[in-house]
Amino acid sequence: MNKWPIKLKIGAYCALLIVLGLMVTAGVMLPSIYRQQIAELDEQLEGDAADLFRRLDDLPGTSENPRTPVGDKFIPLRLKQRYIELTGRDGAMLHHSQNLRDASLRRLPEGMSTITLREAGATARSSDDASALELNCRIGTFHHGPFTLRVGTRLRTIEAMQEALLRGFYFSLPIATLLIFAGGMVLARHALRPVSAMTAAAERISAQHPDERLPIPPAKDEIARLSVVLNASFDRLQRAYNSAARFSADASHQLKTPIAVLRAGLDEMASCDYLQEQEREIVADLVHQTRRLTTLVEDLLLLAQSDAGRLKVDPAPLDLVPVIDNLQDDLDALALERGLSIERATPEHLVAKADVRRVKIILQNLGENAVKYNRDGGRIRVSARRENGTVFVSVGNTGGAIPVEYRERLFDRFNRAGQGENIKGHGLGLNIARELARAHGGELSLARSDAEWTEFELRLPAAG
Amino acid sequence: MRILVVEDEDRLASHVARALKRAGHLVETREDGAAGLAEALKGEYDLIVLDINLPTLDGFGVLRALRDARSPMRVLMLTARGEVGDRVAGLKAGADDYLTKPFAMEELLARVEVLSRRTPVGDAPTRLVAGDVRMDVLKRKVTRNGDTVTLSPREFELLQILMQEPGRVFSRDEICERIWEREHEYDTRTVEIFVMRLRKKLDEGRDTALIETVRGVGYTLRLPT
Repeated sequence: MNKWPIKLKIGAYCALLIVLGLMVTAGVMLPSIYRQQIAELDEQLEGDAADLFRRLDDLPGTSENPRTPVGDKFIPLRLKQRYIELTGRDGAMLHHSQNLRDASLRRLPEGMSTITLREAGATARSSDDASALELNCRIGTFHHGPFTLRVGTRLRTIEAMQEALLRGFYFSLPIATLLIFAGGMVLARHALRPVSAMTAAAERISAQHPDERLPIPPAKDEIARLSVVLNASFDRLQRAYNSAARFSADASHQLKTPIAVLRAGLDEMASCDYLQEQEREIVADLVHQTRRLTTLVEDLLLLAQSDAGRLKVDPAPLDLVPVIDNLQDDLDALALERGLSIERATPEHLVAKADVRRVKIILQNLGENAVKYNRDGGRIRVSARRENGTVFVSVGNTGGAIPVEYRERLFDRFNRAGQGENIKGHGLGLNIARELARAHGGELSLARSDAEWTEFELRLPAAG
Repeated sequence: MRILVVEDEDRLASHVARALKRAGHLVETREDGAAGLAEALKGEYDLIVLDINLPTLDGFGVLRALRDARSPMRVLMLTARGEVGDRVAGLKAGADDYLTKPFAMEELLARVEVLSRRTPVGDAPTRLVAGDVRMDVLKRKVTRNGDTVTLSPREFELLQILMQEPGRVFSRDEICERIWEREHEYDTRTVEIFVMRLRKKLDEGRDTALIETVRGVGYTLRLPT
């Protein structure tokens, strides 16, 4: 039930409650109605007894000789259906109504009691069901002078009413349950409408629409309070997000300005005529260091933007083949010293929807790694293909297998997959390449890594 | 040329000013946007080197005001952010060219030189000639003395850079910046290899070497005298 939608849950709980409520009501109401009706009946029987005694007194000779049986003359027409037993002095039986047959009421206790009698003539109606012949009766014992009168009647009317009530209850229970279940669901949906509106608004809140907020329902209820609290949280998040975005822009400016001064100073120094060759080489190396710094700053900025969800790419139809041509050219030059051989398998054109500056960075990183982690005299293979709206570019090399436990961390920041600190580079390359691939709606993954071959696969959306 | 440099980082401004003066220009510097704009509107300058991040009025604001005043000045913008958005915004607002910080001073001087010729920027010449070497940029064809020389993409780019400014000495790092933009680990070494390969293809069997190494500095395309 925990996994049910809230609407269904509310409906089910409502139905369950109504069943319980009805059962409690029936359990309390039916006996109390029964008791009330019995009390009325008892009063009626008392009246009947008074009536019978009066008529008995009027019967000539009865009071003088309370041992002589009397006929049914003292019983008025309206009481002919009653069970009546009259005893006189010393317990002499004076009258025993026919409908009692051989049943005796003499042993009944004083006052009112409920007993079961066999119905007179019932055998003729239904002989096979013994219980059907038995009838519940209410019998009262009354005294008047020497006479003891026991008068009773069947409880059939009261029992029939009880049965009717119970039938009605059983009949209404499933209908009421269904109605309440459906009603509960409708109510829940109605009550949850502001929540649906909140969900829709929350979905609109994104990097593109950070100012969007949840609607606050007019009623001052729990949902309104929740909206207010959530909106406050969104405000805080947006402030943090904005300051992070501003930070990356500011940091970029702040970091690049001193580098620019450094670079300008070094360039000025390099243009001096009096420098010795050795000094020129130092200056050239320092210039190179400023370029390294710039690239590092740009990489960190890129990652900061990516973390803030603000990494922008400018995708346009781009033929990857010339980009791969350039990559191959670079690899050829680098391969020379290491004795690497470069293989290539690409179609004539391969148009992706990609940002040329970003794709260059990705491929440059993959190419550099393929050289860096390769063994001397090894191979590098660049292949590309298109498949169902996706462009695949794979860069493989004959470097050693990347241990399984490092593969997960391969794309982490400042990680060189356990290749040791003796390998150059700041360890951001794969991380940046993956972020850039993802910003395009693509992916960068390790396709294979064993003793013979390690291959990375770049996926980008194809154009056209 | 009369050049106004508006840059709030005074040391950078003074380096730029000195380099421009050495190249034979008349240079004035201002350190904030409002002062820079006021100076520029005097109409005494041909070119303004304009930083984007400036106190009082940012570079875009200065640029807009200049264009509103129909100033004929050429505008070279400096931006710390290499973001495409900034470049597009700058060029849309009417800048003639932009440079991303940090930049090579030689690059700045070269851009200023191009702007002084008043030819539209971005229309790089499609045919380059240096001595007996001819380059068709569009068809990506190179001939020396009429013989076709087949070059790889990077060799072609390298030769194009050298041929655009024959006689100028390019440092390895400047060439790297032009070819790859981003620094990468082996780039200066790669440039050396490309220069070697280019020399082999261009100079093989000839007595005049085209590409000359300037020791401790870089490379230059030697013009036949």
